[in-house]
Amino acid sequence: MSCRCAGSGLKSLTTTLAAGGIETCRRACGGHGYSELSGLPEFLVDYVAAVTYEGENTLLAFQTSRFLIKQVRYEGSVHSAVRSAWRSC
Amino acid sequence: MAIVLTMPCRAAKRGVKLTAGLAHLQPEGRAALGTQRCTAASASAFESPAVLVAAYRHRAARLAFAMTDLVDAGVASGKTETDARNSVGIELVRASMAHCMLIVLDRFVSGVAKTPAGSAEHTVLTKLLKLFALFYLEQDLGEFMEDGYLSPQQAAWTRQGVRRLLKELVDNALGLVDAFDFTDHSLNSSLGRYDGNW
Repeated sequence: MSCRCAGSGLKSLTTTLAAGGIETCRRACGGHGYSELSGLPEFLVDYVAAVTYEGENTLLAFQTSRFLIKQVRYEGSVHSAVRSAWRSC
Repeated sequence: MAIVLTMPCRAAKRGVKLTAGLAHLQPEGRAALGTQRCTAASASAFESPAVLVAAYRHRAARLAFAMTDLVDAGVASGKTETDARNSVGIELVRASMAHCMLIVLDRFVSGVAKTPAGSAEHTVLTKLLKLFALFYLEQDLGEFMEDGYLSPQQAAWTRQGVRRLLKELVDNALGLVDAFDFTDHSLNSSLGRYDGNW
């Protein structure tokens, strides 16, 4: 379950890292990375759209944070309830 | 999506045990977070996958609590839940990415553990795992150090580790990429061939 809720954040994280990684590799190749012959400019242009489609990355990160906030609040409420039950008995 | 998000709560109400991957979000651990420290006393101990996962888990927990506090404070000051969240969006993304990094690293560790110990694959993948963890730890060093979880010495070990592992892994870089079995057609590049021969 946590995986399903983290899925949106995982897409956001992995595509951001991958797009950044391709650009780092492209730059590391100097002039070759600029040249179409290396395949890297096309690769970057094709890939970089992935941070936007299938859910814009910032919004997807928000979805996972929404789940985390609910989880933190819920865990907090369960345990405080259990504690008060302990105190009353 | 809202239905999906409320499902863990409903599952918990039915008595289903919550995923162990979220245990760090329980309030019991919260009080200890502020005084928790990474105890690795040497560079090699610091690089152990368990120590690195613990560091990522600590950060994920701390940022998740901090984010929730900010939203709760916003709501307490009269904002709607949505406005409270939107006003701290940058912290939401930070906590979210920290949580996802923890999942990725945790899965990476389990995956590497499945390779036979002592095999060449195990050795190389363990180095790659350490490089992955240390590299992104270095990128977000502030998030690991701001509450004193990592010491300046451990931060120095992070940088040293990245430098050393990059050097150790460079000979295997090509093999690691080829392991994905990309075809020449998909690579479409004149820079290298699938087998590494130019």
